[in-house]
Amino acid sequence: MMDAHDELIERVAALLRRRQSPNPRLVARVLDAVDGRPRRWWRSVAWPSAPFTYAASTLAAAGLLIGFLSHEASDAAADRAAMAAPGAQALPVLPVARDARAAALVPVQFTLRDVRASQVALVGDFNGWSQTATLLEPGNEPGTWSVTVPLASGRHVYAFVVDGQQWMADPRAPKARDLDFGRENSVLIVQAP
Amino acid sequence: MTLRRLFLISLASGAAASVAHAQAARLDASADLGLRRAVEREVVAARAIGLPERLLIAKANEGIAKRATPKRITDAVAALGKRLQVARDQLAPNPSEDEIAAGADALYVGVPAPILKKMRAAWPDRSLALPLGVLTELVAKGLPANRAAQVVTDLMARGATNVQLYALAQSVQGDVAAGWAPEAALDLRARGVMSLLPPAPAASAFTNPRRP
Repeated sequence: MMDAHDELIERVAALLRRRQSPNPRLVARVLDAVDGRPRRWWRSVAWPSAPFTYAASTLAAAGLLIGFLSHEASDAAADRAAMAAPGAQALPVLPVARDARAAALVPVQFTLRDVRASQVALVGDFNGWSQTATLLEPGNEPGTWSVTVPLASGRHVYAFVVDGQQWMADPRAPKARDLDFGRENSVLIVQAP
Repeated sequence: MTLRRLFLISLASGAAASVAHAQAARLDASADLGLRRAVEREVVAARAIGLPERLLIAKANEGIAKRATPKRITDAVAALGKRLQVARDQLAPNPSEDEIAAGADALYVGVPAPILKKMRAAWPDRSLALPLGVLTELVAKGLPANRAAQVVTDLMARGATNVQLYALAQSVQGDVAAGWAPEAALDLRARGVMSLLPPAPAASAFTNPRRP
């Protein structure tokens, strides 16, 4: 008896497995009939069979992917347009991202080696040539100094002021002549990504 | 953390940032009264015509840090004010402060003012801070201003990117430091960048403006 019952169950299960996607409306009607409750319209709606969170996250991922691909495609199209017609002004798809006047800041590290210095200040067009705004920190190795400053894209001139007195161009950077005051600065070109 | 506390912290951060900015735009405390008044006059004049006064104060601070005489500092600030005005006008209609400063730097090393207008025409909606910086550096390295300007504006019109312009400046800088003649270095490096760009249009707006 037990074997016959198991065999019946197995046959029903196999029959159900063969049905790839049971009709959700049929399932709802069967369940309503079993429960003895009246049919509601929302029970006929074909909700995703997977848990909703899973479906929602899948949809969200798909949306993100589509958004990313369309963004990339529009960027590429803008690039192609610019390449195809040099000098022509292509209308940017994302004007803020591509053509922002306020350029992104790039962290730049300034270093100096001076074993006699007890204080080193960085002065430049980016800090209003203030001798107190940007002080270098001493490194672990005696005589080494450094500071990292976020800089905008473009050309910058700067120098070090040692111990509040001695003007010193960066020995590791190209020099910029100073026609106004006669003491040369160092020059740095920053390119934002 | 409550919303109120977050709000107060953000207010405090904003205030701190404003204070930092104000400090950066303040004349050095060691300036004597005569210099202070002279710089103030220039700043008021600049403010009246909408120029970035911060740049004038920075120039004065540079002079003070370099121990220049008050007369020399005042002259330098006044000259910068004039350059800023020319740069602003040439880079119209709506140049950023960075662009005006970069334009003034270009004028300072000898770039003719109309070149700025050509560069704006080449890149009407993109920041010119980097291209102007590249041009300034090329001229500062000894290249004739018109030749350097022609190369940079041609590259911009051909679709060169900021990265390519930056690479050009770096390469020329390295070549000159290695003993190359600046013009030879520029020609060679510009050819290298050009080879990466699409073919030139039939008529270049910069080399033959009247050609149909």
